[in-house]
Amino acid sequence: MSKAIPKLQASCSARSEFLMPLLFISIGGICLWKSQDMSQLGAIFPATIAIVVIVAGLLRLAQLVVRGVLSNTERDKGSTPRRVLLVVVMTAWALVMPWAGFLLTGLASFVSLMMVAQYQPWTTRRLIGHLVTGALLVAFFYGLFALLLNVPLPLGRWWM
Amino acid sequence: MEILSHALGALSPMNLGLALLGVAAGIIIGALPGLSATMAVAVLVPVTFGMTPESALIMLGAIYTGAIYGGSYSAILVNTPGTPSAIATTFDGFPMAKRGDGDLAVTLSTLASVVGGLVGVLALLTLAPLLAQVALSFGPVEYFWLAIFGLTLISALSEGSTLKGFMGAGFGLLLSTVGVAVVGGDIRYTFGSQVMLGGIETVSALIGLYCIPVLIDLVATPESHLKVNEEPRGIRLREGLKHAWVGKLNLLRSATIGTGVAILPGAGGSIASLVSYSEARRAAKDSSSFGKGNPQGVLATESANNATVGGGFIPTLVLGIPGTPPDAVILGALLVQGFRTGPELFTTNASITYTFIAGLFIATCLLLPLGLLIGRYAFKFIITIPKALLVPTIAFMTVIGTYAIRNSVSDVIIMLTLGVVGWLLNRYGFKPSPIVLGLILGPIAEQGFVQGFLMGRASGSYAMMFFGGPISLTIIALSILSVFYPIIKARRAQRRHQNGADDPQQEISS
Repeated sequence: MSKAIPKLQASCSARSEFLMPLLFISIGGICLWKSQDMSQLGAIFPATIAIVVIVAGLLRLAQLVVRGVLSNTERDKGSTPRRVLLVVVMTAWALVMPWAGFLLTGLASFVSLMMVAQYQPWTTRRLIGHLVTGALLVAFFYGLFALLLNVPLPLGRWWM
Repeated sequence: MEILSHALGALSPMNLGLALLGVAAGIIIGALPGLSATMAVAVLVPVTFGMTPESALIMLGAIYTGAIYGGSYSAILVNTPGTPSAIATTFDGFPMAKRGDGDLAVTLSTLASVVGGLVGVLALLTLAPLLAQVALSFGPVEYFWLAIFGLTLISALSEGSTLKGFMGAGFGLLLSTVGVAVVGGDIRYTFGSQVMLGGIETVSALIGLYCIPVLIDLVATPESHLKVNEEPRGIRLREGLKHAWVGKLNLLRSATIGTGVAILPGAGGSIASLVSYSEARRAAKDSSSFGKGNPQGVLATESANNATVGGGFIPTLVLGIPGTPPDAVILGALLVQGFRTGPELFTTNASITYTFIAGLFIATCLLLPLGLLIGRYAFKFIITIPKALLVPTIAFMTVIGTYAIRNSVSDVIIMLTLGVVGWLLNRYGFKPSPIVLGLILGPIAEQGFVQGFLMGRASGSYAMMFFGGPISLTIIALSILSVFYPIIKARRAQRRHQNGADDPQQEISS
């Protein structure tokens, strides 16, 4: 008597396990479609890869349908607002840097990220200690890159 | 005897001091994400112009050695390879650090780097002209198959679902085609954006895909970044030596692979460490523990990437073809000093060449005390620094490191975008390594594929072009073995397991 095929364990929800291959098939499809505008030499490699991605996505979908999938109920959980804040601060940092300069945005982002990552309540001593360390670290990296390695870090346009 | 007298020139106090300084500077620069070994050498080349040729070469070689090794620190402690050569070090180095064995991982990386470095130097000293001829027998098609061989590592990296690995690698390969085509000059997938014309910079992508997800998860919980053991255990050298002794074959095999790959121009330390990791995993009895903090994984990758230093100098010195990107910079410095590469470097200018090789040997030996010392402080720093300072410090390094590669804010934005994409994909079971592998190997594979395609069209037989050469066939056979061996091995283990216990099993797919 043949044994039942074990179900696959999803990394997240069972629905997302089906959505991801669809996403990759779409990416492959767009790349394949866009490759039609290229010369034969330019298109041959990305078109081949796009087909491989589509085939892998279809095979994965077939695998999920045939074997079935179980949702992962024990996946990692954590603070989503803090995750979002970290991405927002870093994106704002990169976008504002050409206008406000590296040093100013670097300091501001350092302090903002410090706040995002802190879980314990702030004491005056801890805050001052962290701020001084942050300022020293920013100064060190700025000196290393801008002065020693001659990397032209953005100075900012706000004062011009 | 004559070689020995030339080599003794490297032992002058001045040369020893420069080697020490070079190794220390290299370690620090290499440890900072975004600053690669190429950048470390390039930035410090002007410093060497006023020196004698021997001293200049010794210092550059020492910086290169130190930087390749230094890349392992951030790979182990913050899951971000300091240099592309250290990508594979993250696979087992970071899980080791997470479970509280970061100090041991740093020691293992130091020991492996010294062994690998010495094997590379030994090959440079004894087999240089012979091995350089091997490099010449590699054509575009062989490079294509070599890249494919590197991609077969996906089956080892995808942890359960090979199809997810293939989708991830395909995504990485497609990302590598963004911008101007390597052959033909087509503008591809830029969607009208000027910023995308230059393509996706590999190191920026590497920082984004590896480091940003770590940062995102770091702020999500109050738990500490790495597990901290209550009792200080020092550098755990004895334990490290024990692991190195157990894995002596792994160390030598990886160093040999590293030297061999470095001889091929353009292949570099990232391919060397990935191939050696794959081979170490394939040869191991407990291959399932790889990727979960197996010390042999760290030994394999670090031994291989440091072996590329000596190995890469073989085609550089003998043929004038740089084996790795930092070799290209050193080759430039050599030309500035008035030297021509070729056989005369081993005859007319033998004194300088052998002094340099001896200097490289000394620099590699200096890695042991310096690496253990700096590594100990790096580990202490990472585990004692509060999260509120660690997160902005790593974030700062990622932003400044990415910006410094091409002085471009766009690269920082691309890095952040890829970081968020990498975090999301990771959450859905797509690991960053296959994507990065595709991104790195994409240009090599495409160039070889398109050139092979053109040559096949000219000769009238595509099959003969791609499958006709003995080197190609050997690499194809190795690739097939690399893909199917872990699957067959896993099936056998599963069958044994099922025979042992009849309970229904669930396969973990991610």
